[in-house]
Amino acid sequence: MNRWTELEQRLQFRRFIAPEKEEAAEFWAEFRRRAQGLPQDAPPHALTSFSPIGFRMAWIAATLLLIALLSLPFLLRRHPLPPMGTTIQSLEVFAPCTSAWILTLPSITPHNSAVVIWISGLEENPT
Amino acid sequence: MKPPLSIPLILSASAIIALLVVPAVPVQAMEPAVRVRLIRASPETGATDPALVPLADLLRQNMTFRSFRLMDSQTVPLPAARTLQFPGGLRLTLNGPVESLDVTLLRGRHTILKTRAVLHRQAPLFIGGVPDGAGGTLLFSLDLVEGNPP
Repeated sequence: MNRWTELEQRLQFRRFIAPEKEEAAEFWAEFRRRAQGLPQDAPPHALTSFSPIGFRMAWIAATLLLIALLSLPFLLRRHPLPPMGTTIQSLEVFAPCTSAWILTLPSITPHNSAVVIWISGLEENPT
Repeated sequence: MKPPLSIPLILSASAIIALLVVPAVPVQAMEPAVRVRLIRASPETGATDPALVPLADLLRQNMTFRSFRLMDSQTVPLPAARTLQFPGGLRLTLNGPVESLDVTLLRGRHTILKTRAVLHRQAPLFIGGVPDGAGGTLLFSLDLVEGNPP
């Protein structure tokens, strides 16, 4: 058997096992059936392109936000106002007196102080 | 299987909305009130009302008074718009919020003083020097306390 004879036998074998030709009506019926079936490609979904790390980060962010939310009332209750001293913005004295003082006293607590407005020499019973 | 991304997104959005909305509730609930106490201070040694002990210690250390008696105590929610009546014909008018409280002290028909103050917790404001006619001196103590929601 020479080379050409061997090649001819192989081609005959392939031709033998090749699918038989379909009829045109059968081909188009199969084509329409497939066209009405499931879509060939799923529609792209932007959110599904997140990596597992992205999902974890989103979960961690949500958890941290919830923790901050839960702790907020406690923080507000403990520090409703900044720890500063009372201050006087303006003072007008109308009654006759010898002197008027604004004093800042040493603090009651380590963070706060008291302020005194003291009027000296007021009459006891003005008419 | 990947968890659905919409759940953390919804949680995050809910938490952010809650962070914006929820703080208004406790702040409103904890709106402070101002407590006004009329105190008679005397240079003579004597008993001091137990409720005045912290204030009395502070005043004793810095002034010549030795005994303190609580004459009256009234509490006004803030922001205030009230005139308080006290013994001895004294009146105290309070107007405004805690960060800008206008205080006017009157005796009878006469205005003694007007002041504008910024009050802070545990930092009382004393207004005093009014003689009571019996050797003592009257002074007001204004301090912030927890207020009731309006």
